[in-house]
Amino acid sequence: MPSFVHRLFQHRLAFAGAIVLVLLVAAALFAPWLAPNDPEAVYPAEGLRGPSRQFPLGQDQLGRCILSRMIYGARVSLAVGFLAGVLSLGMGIILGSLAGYFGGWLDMLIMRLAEVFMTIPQFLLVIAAVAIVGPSFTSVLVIIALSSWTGYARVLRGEIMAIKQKPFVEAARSYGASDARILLRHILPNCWSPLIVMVTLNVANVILLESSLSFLGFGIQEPQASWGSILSQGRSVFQTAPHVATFPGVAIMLAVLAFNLLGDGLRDALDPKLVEGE
Amino acid sequence: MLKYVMRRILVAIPLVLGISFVVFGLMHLAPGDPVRILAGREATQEVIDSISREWGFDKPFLVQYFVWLGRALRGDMGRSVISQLPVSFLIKSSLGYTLKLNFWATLLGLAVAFPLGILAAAKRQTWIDYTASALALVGMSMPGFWLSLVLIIVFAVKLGWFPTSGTGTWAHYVLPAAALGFSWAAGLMRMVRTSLLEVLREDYVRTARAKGLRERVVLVRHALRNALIPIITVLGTWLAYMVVGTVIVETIFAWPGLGRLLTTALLQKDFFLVQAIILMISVAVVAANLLVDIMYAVVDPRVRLG
Amino acid sequence: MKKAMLLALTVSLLLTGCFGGAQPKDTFVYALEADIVNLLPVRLTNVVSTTVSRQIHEPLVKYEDTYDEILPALATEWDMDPSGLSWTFKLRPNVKWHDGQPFTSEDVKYTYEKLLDPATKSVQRANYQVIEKIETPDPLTVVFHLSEPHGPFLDKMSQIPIMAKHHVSVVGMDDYNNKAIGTGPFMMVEWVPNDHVKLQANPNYWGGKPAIETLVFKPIPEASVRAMALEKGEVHYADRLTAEDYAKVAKSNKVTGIEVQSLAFAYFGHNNRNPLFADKRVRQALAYAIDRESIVRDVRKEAAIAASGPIAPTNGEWFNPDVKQYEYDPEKAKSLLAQAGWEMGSDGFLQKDGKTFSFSVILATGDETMRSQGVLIQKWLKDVGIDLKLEFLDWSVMNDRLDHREYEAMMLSMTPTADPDQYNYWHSTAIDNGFNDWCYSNAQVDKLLEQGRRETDPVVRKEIYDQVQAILAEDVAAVFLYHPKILGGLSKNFTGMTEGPVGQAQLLYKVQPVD
Repeated sequence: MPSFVHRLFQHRLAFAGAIVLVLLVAAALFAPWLAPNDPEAVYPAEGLRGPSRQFPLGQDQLGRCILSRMIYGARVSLAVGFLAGVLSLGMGIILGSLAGYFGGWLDMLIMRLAEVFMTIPQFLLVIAAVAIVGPSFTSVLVIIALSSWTGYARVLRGEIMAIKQKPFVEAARSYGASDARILLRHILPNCWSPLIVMVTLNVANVILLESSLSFLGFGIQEPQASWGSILSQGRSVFQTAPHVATFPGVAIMLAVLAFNLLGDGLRDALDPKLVEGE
Repeated sequence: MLKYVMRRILVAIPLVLGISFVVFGLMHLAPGDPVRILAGREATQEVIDSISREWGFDKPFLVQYFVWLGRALRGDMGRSVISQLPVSFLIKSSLGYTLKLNFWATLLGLAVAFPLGILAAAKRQTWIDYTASALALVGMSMPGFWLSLVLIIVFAVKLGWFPTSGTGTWAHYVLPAAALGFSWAAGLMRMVRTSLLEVLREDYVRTARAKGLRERVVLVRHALRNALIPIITVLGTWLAYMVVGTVIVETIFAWPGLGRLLTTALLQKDFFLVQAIILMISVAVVAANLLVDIMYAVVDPRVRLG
Repeated sequence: MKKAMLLALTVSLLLTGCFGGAQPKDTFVYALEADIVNLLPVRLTNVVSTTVSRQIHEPLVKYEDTYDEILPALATEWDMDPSGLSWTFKLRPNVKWHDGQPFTSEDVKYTYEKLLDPATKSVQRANYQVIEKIETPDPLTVVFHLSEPHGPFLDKMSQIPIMAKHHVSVVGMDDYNNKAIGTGPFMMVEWVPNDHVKLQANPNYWGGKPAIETLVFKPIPEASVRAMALEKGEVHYADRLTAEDYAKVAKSNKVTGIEVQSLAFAYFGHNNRNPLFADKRVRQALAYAIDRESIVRDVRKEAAIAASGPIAPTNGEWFNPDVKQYEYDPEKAKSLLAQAGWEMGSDGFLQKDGKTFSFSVILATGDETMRSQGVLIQKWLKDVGIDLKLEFLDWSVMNDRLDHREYEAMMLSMTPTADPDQYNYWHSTAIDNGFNDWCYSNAQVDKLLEQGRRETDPVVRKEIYDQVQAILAEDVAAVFLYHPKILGGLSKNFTGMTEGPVGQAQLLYKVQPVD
């Protein structure tokens, strides 16, 4: 474990990514203290003004503080990203371990289902489902999670199939350990490294996905504002008041970049065989 | 080989059935009566009833599904409830535009990703590598519609090189193809670089180098060929990238393709059209994956036995 | 490296060379916000389709630059029987369909019979059920027999373009778009879904051949891209621009700004069935608490006029200016609320019988203006102690809630026709069978609306509808906000675009290139 952390810190880009993420998470957590203005306060007569002393990143159509809205928006965007990531990981773990550990018809059924969900392009599935159910924080979250568990399940199933044969598992079984116990105590701890990398990259993907949904009008709805929805609201004035769309766009890019870098770094750090060659 | 291909095709059939079931079931997630939404707000009860009867909405779910599947197999995907036009006509008229746009986007992506990826691998840890890698990371992280709007403002409005939107001449392709190809090219470039770097570490490459072969020969003859194998897998994700991009890019650039057809259909709750488009694209993905598998089998004979 | 740069340079030079002036001068490109859906005259459902269809097909009578006067189109004269139960139209002689066949009274009869046929599934059908029978005594005369006198009848005749019986009865109604045939100034060439609709001047048009030879409609959904295409000269007319884009475009030396005043009215509609709004003073307090001038100025950027009722001031004679006005006055709102028994609680919200004055308004997602309005109204109501919650709903869910009348308040806009007959909006029976989304019920208004509909003398009708407007305002049936303007831009290379009051379809046959 320490050597893994050490390797991660040596990976300069991943380290930079981690720092950016810590800052973003801090911004989200401490939003009420960090935001210079009330994100909901409207100044209709001052709509679309550029950056000023009171409003560092300018004002939107209703004169609201863009910086404050983005700081609060970090809560929503990161929450969708993390929660969808964790939820789909949970589903993936449950279905993947059922398939991998028990095998047989259950395995067959789950894997066929996974294949179906992997084949229908996720974006299509998500926009169609959100459009039909109606967009909201919960529906966006649940639908994204429901459509992205397959990767985890497949990886986990593969790992479990390989580990299942290992002597220490056989040993545990001979001591009379239950299936659940073997899975939880002996098998899962050995599978987490590829899963963590996947979650990290998945969160990045979800943040981008949410912004695309917002663009089509199927994203997070008012009064909640995500970066995607702030960005999307700014696009109608992109030419006349570019600051409204530029800053949230940069925020999305930074966050996605940070998750991608961290994911890469984690992959390298957790897979020693790759690092040796450098 | 033929046996292998046949086996793969047979496996794909239940997959397609599963997809069709999910796609059909999707429409029944709607809160409220789907017929009510189909008929529109101003519809009278008799209009609602006639639509319900016409599309079999008064029958149980499974019956609806099989009726729909049976018609779909015969190429009859129903009519758009909004415009009353046959779904097949709408798809036919937009498919060509999407294919053409995707073709150029892919070509553009390949033309950028391969040279840059090879260059970055060859000049590892120089400013070329760093610039290319940074560009790729930015490309992967940028929201697609943002990039599209920036491209229009810079290259269409400010510089005036290309038209803002629509179709017509070859110049109309440039901006949407660039917007569509960019993020995919970014991912591909990284993949090319990584897999090339991995191959370069292999023994046979070291041997080739040790034999005194010129670096360029080593790179192209030995390394690149072997690096291609993992890259084929990435080509498999190509369609997924293109689908997302197509929906967004076509909407912004007013491109009359499938993606735009889909967004309009979704906004208007034109269920039959939505189903048909998703089903079609999913089947295309199955076909693409099949093709990738077969390509694998050609490149690497061991696969066939597995 | 050098080679690549040289190549890029050549390519860019080639490109700039290619796109100087590609289009012929008599081609007019009109940017639409969405693609057409259906051009069939009896199945027109949205503004976009109507805009295109009206260039191809014509109704019996029409409005052109104002709503003051109904002008002849395919009918040259009309006459109402003194009983009000029948209308006779004399048709324009020597009018030919685009395929050369003569236009006759049979076509008119066919169109309206198809409209009334339930199998056509026309959303307009309910509005025409007053028609009992249509007779064609000769090829140039049509007689409509009505079940009762109907004041808005002539206005209704302006809304349905006539289609060709000999053609539609053969090609059918389902795949009509590419086969559209009319009597209008432009003829259908081709429709490529989501790409363009191309029309061509009708050399035999009875009103003279239009100056533009080719008329192209291009759907460009993204408002900002529409504005950019207009600025660059790729399209010659674009509408539904954002206020910001409009301000920019109208300043440029290549584009003339065009503002079209629509008949629509936007409102904040409390559900009148809800006991919360039973007290008139509370409803009036809402009207005083909302700053409609600020919405017009800050949200609509002056692209609207403040409303005092459901009929726009630009709607000819029908508008009644002498109704109760509600200037923004939060103090007055507070005192009215106090009179109604609401007391300020410690949390800053009003209380009565232990209940807080709190309700939610439903509004559609995806509409930037509605969203801004909602946020502002929320703030203003908070200023007078009312807790308003915004509930953003997807269109389909919103429609469902509207159908079932499940809301405390809703915010929308309605587009009435030029005739003041708003029976479908304000009559109490329209709560269950119409668009009375406010659930407004007032016996006096009911009676007036019934009278106005049956009355055919415009002078008497004017009196009736003046009263209706006065009552609606006094009663605050809804908080009327504004009548929007539609913002567009016309390339300076063309003139002759109607700035009429239309809102439904602009007539393009007078558009001509500038030399």
